[in-house]
Amino acid sequence: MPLYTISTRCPLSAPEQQALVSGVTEAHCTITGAPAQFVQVVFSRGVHLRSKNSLHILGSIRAGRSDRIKSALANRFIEVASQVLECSSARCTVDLIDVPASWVIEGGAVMPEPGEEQEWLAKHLN
Amino acid sequence: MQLMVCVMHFKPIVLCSLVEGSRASFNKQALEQVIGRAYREHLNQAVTPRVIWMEVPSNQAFLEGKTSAVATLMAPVPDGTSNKLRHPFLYQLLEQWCLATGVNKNEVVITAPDQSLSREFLSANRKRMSPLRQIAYIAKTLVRLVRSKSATGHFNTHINL
Repeated sequence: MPLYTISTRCPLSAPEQQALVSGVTEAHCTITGAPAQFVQVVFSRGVHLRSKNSLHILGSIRAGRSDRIKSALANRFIEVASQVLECSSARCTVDLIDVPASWVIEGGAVMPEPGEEQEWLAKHLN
Repeated sequence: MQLMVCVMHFKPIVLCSLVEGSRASFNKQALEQVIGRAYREHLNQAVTPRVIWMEVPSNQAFLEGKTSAVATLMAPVPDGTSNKLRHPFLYQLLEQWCLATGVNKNEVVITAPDQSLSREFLSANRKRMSPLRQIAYIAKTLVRLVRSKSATGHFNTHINL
């Protein structure tokens, strides 16, 4: 968690996929302060997106992020996607769903609340 | 009392995303038993979850910026379930998943959301598409599930449409 599903109509090339993965991972970590080892990205191809959009990102993120942070995430993802696909930002959309951290188990333990990652990593991953 | 009523009408659909060729993808029968047992033991009744396996090509799944074989499991529980019930359910699923597949605890992410949140996620997934396409998507997915159940004994689908 987070888990980002990136949907497109057509398959993306390996460099495009990697650029999106790197951009989404970096944006998530920079904006939220979460470590990169939590960030999952999967691609779904062949999706006839609403309004002939080029790309859609559905993200499940830990609950507790402010609206300002969620808005910054969505804006940055759209910026990255429109650069990688060389399309208008209006053709890229993002939906984010809040999932309480205590409902998720990852790395063998219930996930930490946002902001408590370092203590959690020290306790569970070392 | 309210939780008991929710549990009585509870018919969970468990969504498991597996990377093609990963160890979990060869152990579906055992994993379905693991999932069923966790529901029965922790939700205190004979709940029979329907497990849907979603295969993901190995070059389409990433963790920490690199390709990954991590499985993700979304196993909904009745709305209002306390963490006192939810956490033992999660830990049993994790422990038994690792035993059945031989993978380590870092290779699976398990979420036990309230059923309403699980529905919200599935709805958002459909709403990527236009309303007409959503109907075609549902029909295509149902055909895939029925065919695979008949051919393999499992409800299999694919992340690519």
